[in-house]
Amino acid sequence: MNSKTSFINRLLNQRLLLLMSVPFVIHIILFRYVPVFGWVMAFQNYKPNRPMLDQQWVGFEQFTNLFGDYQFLYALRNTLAMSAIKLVMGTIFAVLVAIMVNETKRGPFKRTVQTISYLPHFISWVVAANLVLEFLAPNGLFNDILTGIGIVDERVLWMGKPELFWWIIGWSHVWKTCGFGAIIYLAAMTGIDPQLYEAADMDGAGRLRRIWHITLPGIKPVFVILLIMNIGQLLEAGFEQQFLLKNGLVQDYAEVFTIYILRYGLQMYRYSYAAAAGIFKSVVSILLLFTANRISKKLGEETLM
Amino acid sequence: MKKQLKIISMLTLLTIIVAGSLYARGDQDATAGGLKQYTIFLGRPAEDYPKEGTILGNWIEEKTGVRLKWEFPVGDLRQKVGLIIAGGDYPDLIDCRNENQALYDAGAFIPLDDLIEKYGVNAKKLYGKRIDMLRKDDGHIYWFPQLFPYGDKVQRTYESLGLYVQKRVLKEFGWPIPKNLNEAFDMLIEYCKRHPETDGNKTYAYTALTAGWREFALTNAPHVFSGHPNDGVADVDWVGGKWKVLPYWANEAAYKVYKLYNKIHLAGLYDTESFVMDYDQYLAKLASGSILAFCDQHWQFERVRNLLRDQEPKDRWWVGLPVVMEGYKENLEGPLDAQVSEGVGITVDCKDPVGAFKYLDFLLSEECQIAKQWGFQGTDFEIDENGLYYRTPEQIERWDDTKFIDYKFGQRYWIEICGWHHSSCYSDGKNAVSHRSQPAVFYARLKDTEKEVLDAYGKKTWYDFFNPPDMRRAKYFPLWTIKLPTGGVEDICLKRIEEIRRKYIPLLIMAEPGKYDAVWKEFLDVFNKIPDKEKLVAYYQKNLDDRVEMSGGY
Repeated sequence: MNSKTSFINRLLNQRLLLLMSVPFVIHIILFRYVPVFGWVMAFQNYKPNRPMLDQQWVGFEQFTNLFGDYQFLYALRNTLAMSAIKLVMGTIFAVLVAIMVNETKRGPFKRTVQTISYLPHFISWVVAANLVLEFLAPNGLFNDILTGIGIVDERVLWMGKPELFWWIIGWSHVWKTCGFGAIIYLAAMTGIDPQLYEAADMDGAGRLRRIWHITLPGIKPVFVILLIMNIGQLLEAGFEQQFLLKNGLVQDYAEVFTIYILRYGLQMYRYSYAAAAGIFKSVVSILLLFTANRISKKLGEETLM
Repeated sequence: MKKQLKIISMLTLLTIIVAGSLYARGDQDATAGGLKQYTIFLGRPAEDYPKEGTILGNWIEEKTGVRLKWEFPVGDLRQKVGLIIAGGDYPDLIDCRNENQALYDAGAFIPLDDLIEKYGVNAKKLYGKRIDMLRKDDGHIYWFPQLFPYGDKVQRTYESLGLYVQKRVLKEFGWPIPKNLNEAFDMLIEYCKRHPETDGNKTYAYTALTAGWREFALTNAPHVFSGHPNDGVADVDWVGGKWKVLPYWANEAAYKVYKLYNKIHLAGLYDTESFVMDYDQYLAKLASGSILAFCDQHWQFERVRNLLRDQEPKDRWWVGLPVVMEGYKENLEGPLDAQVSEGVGITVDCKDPVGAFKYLDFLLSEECQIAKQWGFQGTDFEIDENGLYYRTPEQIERWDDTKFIDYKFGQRYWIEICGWHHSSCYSDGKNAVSHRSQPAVFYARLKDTEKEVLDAYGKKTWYDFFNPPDMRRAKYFPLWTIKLPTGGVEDICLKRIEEIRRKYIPLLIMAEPGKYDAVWKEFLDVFNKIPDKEKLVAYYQKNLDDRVEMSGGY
């Protein structure tokens, strides 16, 4: 009885806060939960603009078509490969940049380096992709350098090499995001108690030792949380980047999940097919997220939930 | 103080919202202005319709008492059409170009048959006996095509597609017309040897556009160089007294054409960067003047051609030649195409279909075509004593200013709605629908550098380089306007074929010495595994047969 009145009292006291949260709750319900009902179309042969009951039900046909399509399997492979490359390279370089910036003395140099390194983040991929294409073109800067110092004799059509496409995606991702990704690690580093560094200094630890024993463990919680979240996003290898950089020669290595859904689903007005692919993606993502979270928990690290 | 601030900010917000909604309403009222108003979605990018109106638009409004409220796509048309369908909220009139089929599948159009019967004076006049070509597979007519030939007389001045060779090459070799593609390529390679550099850039013998849907410039090569008019997806040959659909995706012509391309590549003269270039980069590369030849359709690069034609040195633009491979019959041009797969229709959401129909029927009238294509007598064109239309030099200058014609005159908004084919003639039998096809205007617009080529070859127009069309084809032409049901097995099959060709054609062209046959075999292995190819061909064949049937049979 007592606890109930106190609950109501609290409710009344915080009514303004509650009221303020209402729009967001409604927003989440409307845009995150209601659309889930649309998943039924994955079991139909959905034709737009007709009532739900007029639709033809096809059971799991869309899913069998999906898994039977070799193009889809390519897309799946490419998505995982490019995601993994981007995740590993992106994280390593972001941490590296963060450490290097952290180790420099405060002053104009540090600020300049930081600004320059995160500037590419604000360029849209449409522009960035063109920069990459120009850079790697047969008469572009990269070939100029390579032929200039004599590493290759003839100019190479880099964008036409299927085996290199994943790495071009990886490196252009690093170039574009490592500076911005470093910010969050830098923030974590400022939270490390300076006394630890002083104590290490006393004990005669050098710079590398300090990084290894203080800085890196200091950012571990942030690192683990980001890793778990990113693992949940493994099936999101990006869209614009591949879409803008791909071409006929490399298509078997360039097509990712999102582009596949766009081309074989939405662009052909196969909404049911796209929905089936979307369900598959959501389910796998959730599974990945939980697995990563569980492993992290088992190892006694930070967890998301 | 804090409370006051709160109230003031709330009031400001409220004012903005109210003002915003009032503004939106005011905008709507302003466009009505006592006229009937229809909304239209036109699937071609254009600037917003000018608030102050346009010359042509004001004239049409005066004639019909109808004002249109325009909407144009921003970005990808397909996605926009998908959204329109999913939303189910259609404008009164709609023309989604090559995506019309999807709207049709969704039941967005009303059938026009009864309306044509009752009110279609101009529709009956234009389409005449051939009106059945407009019918969809359920036997009804749903839209008026973007282009339709009127009458039988044809007046053409420009070719539609071919092998384009730079003027300086032709000049150097004494104005030849190569006997076949092999000979043409030898000529290009020889020229490159003599002039390896163009303004500091490497001279390339050949390139091909590969960007997005425009890739047909590369993928249709077996079709073009085996002497077929532009049917698009497949060859159509006269076999045993009938038109037969014969795919060129992996036929002998394809093998031979790409082998010839490979020959240029092995000579180090093929612009391999073209495989990773987009459309703008292609145009930029052409504009550099260092590309000697390519296969394409005239309208895709016309801007660059005209640019180079007016620039020093004035011999870097391209002349279309009717070259085919050895052993194939030369017959490149097709009859005027009835472009029935694209056009404007009335939607189920239109409250006043009769009024909307009458508006469209006016757009189909000869009077309106002349206004659209030629403008108005006195300001835009004159009529000589023989009744032939012509333009004075000032009028030509006025009409060469595309910005003015598009948005001040307003041609861009109406030109592709309810069109007569620009190479047909008006009912007087002597004046071409478009000024481009009118000899008097064609000659007046020719530059000296162009006259030099025409004189050297002894031709009157660019079209004269090509053979006249086989008019028996008029009963179905062209095949590419037959649209596959969206998302069906045929549609998916075609997409896979395109995909595989997109990958292997560059590999074939770039094959190392002696490896061409191995790559070709690999391509065939993959290609033969694609399911439902027979269904796809059968679908085209059936629709072609239906068209021939509708146009009066064999």
